[in-house]
Amino acid sequence: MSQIRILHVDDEPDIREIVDASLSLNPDFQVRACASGVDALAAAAEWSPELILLDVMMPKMDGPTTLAQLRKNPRTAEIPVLFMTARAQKREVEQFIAMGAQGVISKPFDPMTLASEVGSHLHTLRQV
Amino acid sequence: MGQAAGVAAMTCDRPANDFAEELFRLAVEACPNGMLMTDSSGIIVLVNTETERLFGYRRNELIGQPVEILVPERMRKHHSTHRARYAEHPNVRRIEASHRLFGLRQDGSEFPVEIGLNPIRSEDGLFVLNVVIDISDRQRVDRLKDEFVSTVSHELRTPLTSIAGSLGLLLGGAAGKLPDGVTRFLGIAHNNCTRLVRLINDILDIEKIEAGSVVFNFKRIELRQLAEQVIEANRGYADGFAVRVRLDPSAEAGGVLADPDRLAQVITNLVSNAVKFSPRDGEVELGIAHRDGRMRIAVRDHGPGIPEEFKPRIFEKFAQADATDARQKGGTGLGLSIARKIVTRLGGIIGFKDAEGGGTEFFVELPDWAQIAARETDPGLSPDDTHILLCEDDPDAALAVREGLRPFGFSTDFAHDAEEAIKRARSNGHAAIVVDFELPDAGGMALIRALREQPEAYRTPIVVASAEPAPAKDGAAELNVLKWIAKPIDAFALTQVLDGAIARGANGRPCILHIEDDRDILDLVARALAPTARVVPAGSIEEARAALLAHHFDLVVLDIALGEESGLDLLPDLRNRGGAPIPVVIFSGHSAEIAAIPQVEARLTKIGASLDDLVAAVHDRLMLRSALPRKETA
Repeated sequence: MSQIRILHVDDEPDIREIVDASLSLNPDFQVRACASGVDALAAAAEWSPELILLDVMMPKMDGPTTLAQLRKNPRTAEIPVLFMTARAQKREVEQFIAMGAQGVISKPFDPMTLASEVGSHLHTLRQV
Repeated sequence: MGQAAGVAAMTCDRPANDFAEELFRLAVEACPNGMLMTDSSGIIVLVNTETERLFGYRRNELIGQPVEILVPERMRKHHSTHRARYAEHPNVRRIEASHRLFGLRQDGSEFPVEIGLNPIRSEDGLFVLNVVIDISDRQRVDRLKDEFVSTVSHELRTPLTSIAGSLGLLLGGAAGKLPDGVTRFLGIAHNNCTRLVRLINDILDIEKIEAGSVVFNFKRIELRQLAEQVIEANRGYADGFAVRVRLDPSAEAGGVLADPDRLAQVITNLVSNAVKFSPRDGEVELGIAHRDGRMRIAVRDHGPGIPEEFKPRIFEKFAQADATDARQKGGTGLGLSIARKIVTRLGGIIGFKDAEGGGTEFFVELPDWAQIAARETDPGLSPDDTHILLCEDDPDAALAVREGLRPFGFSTDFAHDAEEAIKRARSNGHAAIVVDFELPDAGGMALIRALREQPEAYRTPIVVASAEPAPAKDGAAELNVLKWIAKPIDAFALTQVLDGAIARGANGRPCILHIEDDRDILDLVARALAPTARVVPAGSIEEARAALLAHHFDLVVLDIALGEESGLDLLPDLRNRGGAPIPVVIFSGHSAEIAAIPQVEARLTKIGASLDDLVAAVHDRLMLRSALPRKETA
């Protein structure tokens, strides 16, 4: 079975490293990280990941703006996006879904179960 | 000079009052807030220096002017309506920042205000002392605080996410097996890290609830089910303390109307407190019971009980019986404070008592669903009432609208969520449906779409009430929404919208066509006549002609100067479908020189006649005088 490409976008290098380590607990995941929304747009178009994990609060281009740009480009419009955010109140989750995200992973996340959480999101997305 | 003239205008020349008057004037002058007094027709008769400073006018430019010159153009209509309503029930009132009021300076700029109204009754009628507080500074500080809290929380949580993540990976063995001693200390670091995260979350939570920015989604909740969910969710936590949590077998079945997530949060908090303070191998019981029209959820522990001296402070922030306790028990000291704020918003109460045989019982009481459900359908006061459906999840807001609409001949059924709304719309015929756009279980748009799919509601006029302005027009047009109105719903404004859309039966009440280009006067007259007649407003000759086609009228109240048009041109058309002329009362700005026309039964000028005179004239024509409870006028 070929690997599942996951693009992780966060401006914090430490969090990029931890997410990479956490997701690597599932050998099927192939993870690439971007430090900004702009980089993410390019990487998403070129690499065509199966899933994008997107930080909400980033300087210059924040998560929601990045998502809107992804949706505008036909090459990236269909890629599922999960926001990673500390602000995971129900209402905000609804707002993110309304923006076109497929779900939200709340921060701080449990690094030992992040891979399986992402896995179950992917499972649900495939069923739809 | 203007100031002296102003005071003279409101009092009589009685020397005995001079001293009191001077004191009053000095007190008003010394006030650090803007103060201005208006007479019964809203004319400014007195202002202080602060008012001059706030609005950038000189005193003599304000005295004698209608108070509306200090109100932004877009709010003037509302303002004069509110002013008229206030005159009916004058009381000391504060209009808070949440009403988003603005003052208009002479240079055209605006600033946010809070207003205090104080009625002063005198021989010359009702005066109102208006206190104007400029709240721009307060709003700026609030905004800075919000930004600060949001920034701090982000800045604190980002490193915490990294720390918790790293520790979690190490403890989980992602970097290989660790020596026992290392695991122990990493465990301590990890625990404290999660505690810090909890603390930040709690502080933000309380901040949001206090700021009123948390939206509560009310739904029907079965309490037994909720209790079981909470018990299940806390099983792991309780196991850690070797405590068993169970639902009392005698727990009664029953429901409440509340926000399920928030109520679960409260019960979870009570359960985790009970677990924390239970002895090992202890037991925590959840009970549910009916109690005086309310449902009571109780959480009982067998712990040491609450120290007497701590009882009065228990719901305060960071109140813990013993600071070292907090560290031992892993609490943040905010849980009960948050719980109380939530329960209050849900319309309930929270409390505690010493349990019999030791331990403590915390309880939450909320309105019983059965009581709320009994109010769902509205039989109305008369079978002629126009029956409408209101889809609104907040029970208090719904009741307020129902009571507000009642005097206008409406009876109002409720639906608290989308599912109920559809069920109710299908089973009872409604002349119109009012939809709260922020309903919990489905977006307003989805609900309207679903309603439009029901054959019973396919063509029913729908009014949307929303805190947000109408979205992109195409969406609304597609769903054929009659109108978007602001929340909280103003019952009178809603009747105006509904009357424009529903061909209401006369309900046994006379029906009056009022033709007038001043919307404020239309509002005032409709309001004044509402108890006995139904008033269809028309702002132009064109609107009047359309109304004449749609309704049967018993009387027309006619203004002559309608912008470029003359109301007199309409006279020949003021006939019901059978051709019978409709009696006309002219209510116009000036006394026009018109030939005697039999159809015109009375003429009043806006300057010479008061609203009460008009009401009396209308009632005379309708021969209602005897049936009318005469209003005592000031």
